[in-house]
Amino acid sequence: MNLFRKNSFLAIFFLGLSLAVIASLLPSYKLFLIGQLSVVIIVTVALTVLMGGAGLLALSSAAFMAVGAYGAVICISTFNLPLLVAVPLVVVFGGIFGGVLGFITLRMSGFYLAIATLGLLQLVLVGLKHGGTLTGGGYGLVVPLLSIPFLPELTVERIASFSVLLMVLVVDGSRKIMRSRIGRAWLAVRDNEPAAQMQGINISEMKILAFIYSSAVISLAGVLHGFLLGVTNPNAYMVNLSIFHITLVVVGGMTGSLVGAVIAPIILYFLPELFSALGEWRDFFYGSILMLSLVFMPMGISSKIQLLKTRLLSRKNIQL
Amino acid sequence: MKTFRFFSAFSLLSLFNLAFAQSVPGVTDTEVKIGVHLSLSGPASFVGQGAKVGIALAQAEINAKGGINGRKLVFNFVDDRGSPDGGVTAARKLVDEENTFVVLGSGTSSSTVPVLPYFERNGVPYYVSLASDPQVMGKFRRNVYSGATSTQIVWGTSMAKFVNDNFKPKRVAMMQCDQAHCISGVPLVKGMLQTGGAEVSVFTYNSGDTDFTGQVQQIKSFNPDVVFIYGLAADGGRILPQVRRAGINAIIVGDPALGDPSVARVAGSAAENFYTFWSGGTQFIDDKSGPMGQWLNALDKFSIERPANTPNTYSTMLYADVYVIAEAIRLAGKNLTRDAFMTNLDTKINGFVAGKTPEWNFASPVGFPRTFSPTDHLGNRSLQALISVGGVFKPVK
Amino acid sequence: MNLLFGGLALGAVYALLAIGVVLIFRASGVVNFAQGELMMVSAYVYVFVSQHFSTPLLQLGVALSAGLLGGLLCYCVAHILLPTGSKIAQVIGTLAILILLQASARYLFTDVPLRAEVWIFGDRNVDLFGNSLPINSIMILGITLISTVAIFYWQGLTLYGRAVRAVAEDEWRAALCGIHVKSTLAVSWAVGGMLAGLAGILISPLIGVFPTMGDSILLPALIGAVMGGFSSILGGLIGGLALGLIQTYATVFFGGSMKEVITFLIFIAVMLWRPTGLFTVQRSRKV
Repeated sequence: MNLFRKNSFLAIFFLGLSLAVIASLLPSYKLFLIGQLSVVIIVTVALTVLMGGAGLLALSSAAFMAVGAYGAVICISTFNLPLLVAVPLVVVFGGIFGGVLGFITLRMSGFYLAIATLGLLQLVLVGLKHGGTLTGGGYGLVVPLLSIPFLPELTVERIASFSVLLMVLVVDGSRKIMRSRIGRAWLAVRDNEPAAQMQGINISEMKILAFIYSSAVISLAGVLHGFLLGVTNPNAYMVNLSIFHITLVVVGGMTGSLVGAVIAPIILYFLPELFSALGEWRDFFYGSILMLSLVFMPMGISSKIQLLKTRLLSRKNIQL
Repeated sequence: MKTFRFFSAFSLLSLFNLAFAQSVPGVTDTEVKIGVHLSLSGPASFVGQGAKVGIALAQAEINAKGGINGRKLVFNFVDDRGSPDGGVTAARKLVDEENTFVVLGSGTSSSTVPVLPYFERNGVPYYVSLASDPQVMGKFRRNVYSGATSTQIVWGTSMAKFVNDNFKPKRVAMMQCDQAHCISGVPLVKGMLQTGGAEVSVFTYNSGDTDFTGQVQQIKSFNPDVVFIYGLAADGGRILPQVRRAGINAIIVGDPALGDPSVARVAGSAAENFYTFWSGGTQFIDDKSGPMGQWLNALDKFSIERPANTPNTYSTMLYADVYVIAEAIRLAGKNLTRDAFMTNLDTKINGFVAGKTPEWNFASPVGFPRTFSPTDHLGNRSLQALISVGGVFKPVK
Repeated sequence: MNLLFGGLALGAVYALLAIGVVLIFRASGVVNFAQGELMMVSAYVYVFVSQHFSTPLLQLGVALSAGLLGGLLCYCVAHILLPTGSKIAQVIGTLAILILLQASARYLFTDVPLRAEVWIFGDRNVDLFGNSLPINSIMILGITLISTVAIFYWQGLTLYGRAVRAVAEDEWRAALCGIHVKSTLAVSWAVGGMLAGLAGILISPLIGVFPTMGDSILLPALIGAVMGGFSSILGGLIGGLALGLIQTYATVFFGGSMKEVITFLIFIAVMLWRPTGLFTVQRSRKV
């Protein structure tokens, strides 16, 4: 058990770095897929924190990805900001935007909240489509050649490897937050709002905080997504994307544990891409896998894994 | 000693040449691999399914004659879902993983435009058959070519001229959807119609909308001579009946995206005397006579698999474009490289139509001739006007 | 005037779907995202039946049955296949049905729209209030209102309707009263499906029949239902009609491309004013 004590940032960073280096050895196209997978995992983790952690059903994930992607490209191309300034700026902006969204929707819950966040997505999309030369309108923007001073040019391959590193950091960071006081407060709010209030937890604060965190992380994912794709385009951030993310979260499980959030994208995103020979059967494939996961793992992958862990541990105890 | 040196140099050179020749991606002594990205799933799947039929027929005909210079044509199809994500992923797969020789773009503008920067950076020949977005040809790229379809700018000019010459309208109502080709095409056509002396009013909608009561009532009060609809085929099928039902008797014209048999079918009697355009040749696809009839028969002859509602307009366009590519490959002979391919396209494709040249006389001569030059990669500028009569599109002379 | 009726007719179709969703939600607590697809399936069935038989009653009957069967299918998935999950899992289950139905339709019929004939009165206009109005719009409105009244009567006044409400309120106690919970739930889903089937017949002549027709109708219907207060049938009706009117008039005043934005802005405004919707069925919250 001592090995697991090494939860320090350095250990995790090293783990992420090694995974990234391993990934960079892959052929170009597979690496690209891994990069995309990392992006999807980041979004799923963030959304799981919001939905499974704080219990807030949000359909705005596509909107924040668009904010991230467009924001980064606009900062770099139109305002000529260096990359290292643009990206954190966009992430912070995403967080603030998310906080505002959280504030507006404080009174809403459940399905009403979902529709309101959907409305936000539509507003963002219309804004992008009619944004003239700033957003490139219906065509979107082209990502310029990216570079950081003193480092070689950032190719898509390098960005993909970097996404792996970021993914590890985000997963670990989210895990830590869920274990902290904030995470426990979120879970309390999710399970029983009045009881949480009686414990002295400020409901509004917690909800807004959940929105800020998940929106910022999703914006970061959006930035990576835009860089990987090489272009931004309104058609890439439509309702189906948000719905796709939600299905990932549900299949992954909303128990508050993030294991499923990492596994679900591998099953529902990576597999269909690998088997692209499916062609027109892709939708059937996706729908069937979704249905099967729901039938056999109705509470999500996380709960099944937790069950497995408990069984394994209890077995160990008995044998002792 | 001299002979020895000469001989060793020669053999080294030929070894080098051999190695170099074998290192051309997608080309072996017996095969040429062409990558195709197209929408097999998603809302634009009818485009991809139709395109596949045309490609399959051309492939069957060419390979039945032993291929090109002894190399059979192999096509690698990757579904791009009609989305930007899918397009970029498909393009990367075809170039980086499948190592195809050239990439044939049979996707919609939505999945084609986003991959242009990628091709610009890697220099792989990219032959765009269908996307008509101005951005495809907007910037000259050494390795990007446009086949069957032209750009909204070229088309817009032809269509405005047709409307001005034939109908001399005083008032034109235009319907503009939110697709990229509408946003780019409508202002252009509007300007040209206005130059022709008409008063033009534009009414917007979102592609996929089902109810047009608002726009139709506004058009009715505007009382136009001509209604010009920009959108997708499905939109056309919905808008036409609603316009006619409201009692609007103006002449209705649609952009080339509406040049699809499904529009006439869905709109029923409302499509009578509906004008539209297509860039696939002087005969429309359902014409069973002449070259088009020969083409339709060939589908049966080679037992080409045809999913529901195919072949469609995209089938003939891709068929013609595959032959253009085949001609450029043929002219390179045994030494097939990407550079040679592109040079052939630039210099040797002049008014080319398969079936009209001796090497390809077994093909059906459908489609407009393609012409490329080293500075102009827009292969086909022609547009044929069509009128719908009795549920069938007929060419307008 | 034409605008008004056009908007109302559109809204009526939204209302039919909205009421169906509300019914199912009231009974099971699950939002049936596949409601649009049930409409689509019924529309396809209607097209094929009307190609062979021209009796209006038969066409109606077959399309309604298709909707009914579809509703039962969704019930089976939500309650027989997936009862152990959370409510959200059941909702995602209906989403999976949506994906599979749409993919099947796309595979079988492709995206090219099919043509549907107007159900009874044909594509004619009639003169009312000094204006020439399409008779189809009036019929759609009429049928919707009649159906809503019928549902009201069923839910409010018949014994079976009260059983449904009892199950919705408290499953266990309803079972104690001798109500067969499972079949009562199934009936709600079936009726919801039938409403979707009705919507299918009414709207397909206006827009054609194609695999994705469900999406574009369901979303406004859901927004209307939410705006009207999600647990009220009257709310579903008013919300659906209101949404049809909003969309039509927004197009006229702001242009078709701004339609969605205006709709959502109005929605958010209503939600801020009345967070639980315009009409609510008073319910105590279990603390």
